[in-house]
Amino acid sequence: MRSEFSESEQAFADQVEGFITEHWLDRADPQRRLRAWLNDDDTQALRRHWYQALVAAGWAVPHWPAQFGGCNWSAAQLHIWFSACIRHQTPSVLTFATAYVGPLLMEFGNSQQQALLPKIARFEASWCLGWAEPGKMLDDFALTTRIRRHQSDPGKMYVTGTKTRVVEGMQALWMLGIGRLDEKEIGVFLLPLDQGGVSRTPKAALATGQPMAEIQMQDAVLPAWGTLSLSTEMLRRRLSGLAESDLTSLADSGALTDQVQRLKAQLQNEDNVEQGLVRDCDALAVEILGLKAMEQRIVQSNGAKSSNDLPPTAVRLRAQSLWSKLSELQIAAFGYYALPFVDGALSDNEGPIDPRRSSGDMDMTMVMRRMLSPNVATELALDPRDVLAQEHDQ
Amino acid sequence: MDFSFTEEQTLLQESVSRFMQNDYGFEARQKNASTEQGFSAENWQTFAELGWLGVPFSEADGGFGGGAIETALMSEQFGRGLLIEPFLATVILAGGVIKHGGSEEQKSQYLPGIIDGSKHAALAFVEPQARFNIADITTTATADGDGYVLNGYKAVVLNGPQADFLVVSARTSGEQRDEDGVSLFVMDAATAGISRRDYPTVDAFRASEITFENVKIGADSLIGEAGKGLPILQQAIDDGVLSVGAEAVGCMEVLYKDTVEYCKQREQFGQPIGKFQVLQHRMVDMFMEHEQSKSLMFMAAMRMAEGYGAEAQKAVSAFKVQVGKSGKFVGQNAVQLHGGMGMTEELNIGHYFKRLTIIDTLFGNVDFHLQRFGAL
Repeated sequence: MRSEFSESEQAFADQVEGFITEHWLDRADPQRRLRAWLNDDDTQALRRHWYQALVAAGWAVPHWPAQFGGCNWSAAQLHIWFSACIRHQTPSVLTFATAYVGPLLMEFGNSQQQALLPKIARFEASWCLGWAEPGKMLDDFALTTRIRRHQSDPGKMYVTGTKTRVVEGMQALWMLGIGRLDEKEIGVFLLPLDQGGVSRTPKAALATGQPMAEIQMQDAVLPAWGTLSLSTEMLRRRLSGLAESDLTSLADSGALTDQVQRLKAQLQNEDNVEQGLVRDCDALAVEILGLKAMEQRIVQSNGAKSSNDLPPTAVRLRAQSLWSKLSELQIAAFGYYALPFVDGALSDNEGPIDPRRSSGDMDMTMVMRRMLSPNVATELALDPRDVLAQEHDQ
Repeated sequence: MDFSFTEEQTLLQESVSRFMQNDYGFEARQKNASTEQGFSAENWQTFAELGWLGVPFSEADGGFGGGAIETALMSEQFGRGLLIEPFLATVILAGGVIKHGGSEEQKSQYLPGIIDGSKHAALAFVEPQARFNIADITTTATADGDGYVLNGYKAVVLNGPQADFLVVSARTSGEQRDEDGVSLFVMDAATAGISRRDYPTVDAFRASEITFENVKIGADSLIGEAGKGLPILQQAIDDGVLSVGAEAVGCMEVLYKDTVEYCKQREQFGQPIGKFQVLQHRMVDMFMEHEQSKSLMFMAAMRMAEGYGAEAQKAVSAFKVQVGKSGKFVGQNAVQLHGGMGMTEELNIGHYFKRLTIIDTLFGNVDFHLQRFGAL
């Protein structure tokens, strides 16, 4: 057993740090870099440079198979790369398209669908997820969006319905969504959004100030190849990061460590700070250390699962809850400056912390818990669906 | 990082696991715990024959040449069986002080007896006023001719009733809480002037209050340098933290797994209670607490194995904090999900919970280790 990087891992980590310093950290001051997360116009060039640098280096989609543009990196290398990007708050290297859509198209798509991959790998086609609907929980049974075939031309298909709380829905060029094919069957569709049958309304989000979207589709035209052959259950599993090879979303501990250390240092410089807060920072640091070890266990097993191994879902769930705890702690540390509400960038809120993040993270934690906890329960053979299935088999 | 075990480590883990599973049943454990001695001498000899009592000691000292990782792997399995034999007190604590600070003569005098199972030992380091501060010592060792005279009182000395020899911390100079001036001594437990009051602990171990009244010992009893014993003691205590923490991880594994099994079988309102999502969430949380503790166990063991220093101390304290919090959560929920049965003597659940509760207190609780973690 060894708690540090091997020599080759350290060399790779140094290379990664050098790349991020050159193409991100040295390109703008911290305030401006933070604003880049909010897609402000004045940071567009900054983001564009980052993505172009990734593509030029061949590092845009390192987690993909090599034939689609991946890097053939080991699990440890992927972990080092994604950890460093999260820690330095670079623009997302794992977009919805590169993290989810691409791998789904590779696994379940036909050749026409896979023709979409190069643009995804160059960050030229942004995608969003169309799942939730107004007034409905994330429940397949309540789904009202319809996928309909043209009556006289079965090659043509249309989508009608409304998707809400669509993250990045205002900018996305494509939607990966679910809709009802008939009373029983649910289909997964790939819809180009830049068309007449689609209209979008911004929907403010608590977490970042970045609007989500409500997207109305009225006979929006699907390409003839616009449905994907996979079940919603499989899609749900893939979106939960449950693919055995999916290590991409398990790289939070470095960033969390960095932030809690900064917060503690900041608090220790304050004249009037409650000691309990510093103690809470230490308590969170302990949990983050545990998360780090959990991440490493997953990296070590390369995502393979056996009865004695740690399910990746559990690590993801833990990471989300720690982000939420960090947000709560930041709010507490912020004191009176948690009160101002400036409708704009994170860094414009009279200080480095956006109090809205807390409730956003808590909300996300609840959603993640609702989505992921049953999956961990399945690992414990506790999922009621399993029990029911067994009864049915008998 | 590399979490893989060597072949020897895997074999050791499997060997202990097999024994605890096949030969260390809960009923037999309870029977042994209720004897005057409080454990099975037969088991202790088996441990010696299997080489387990020599695992943390170097090959030069007659041991297996193992370290923190081996100790953690064994202790985790001990926790699963709710081990009642005094491995911690004899091997890790008293044996640990001699291993870390003893002279060659002291090692050859005391360690073979520990390794072959013929001798028991105890580390007397707690004082009533000290809480978890191991430097807070009022027991004195005064130079007397070519030896020392000990006077003072030690509390909750684990395995005190069975100890053939004692390792004792005492102050040879300085003020009550000074880090300098702490010395360590090893002596026969039957030395004149030593008296004991023995009692069982909540978790069915045995301990003693020990009074030292003009106890005369030779200069060869001194471990290491006079007044410089605290770092040696601290290292042995941190070995102990890792060991009991790993034991707690084993306890938690049994608790969450037994709870899951119970909830699959216990029916209410015409269906297994494991079907209720609110209970599933709780069991998932129990599982997560166990896994997080286990992950920190690996981290702490690796740090300790790589060399004892601030990083290792920090990792050990982090592990102890996590174990304290997780143990409480897992234990409480296991009892609650088992309902009234969880509180009975005949079911193992409550006994694991008691052990977890005591482990939180041993060598410093959550608050103490959180403070230490933050300060390092």
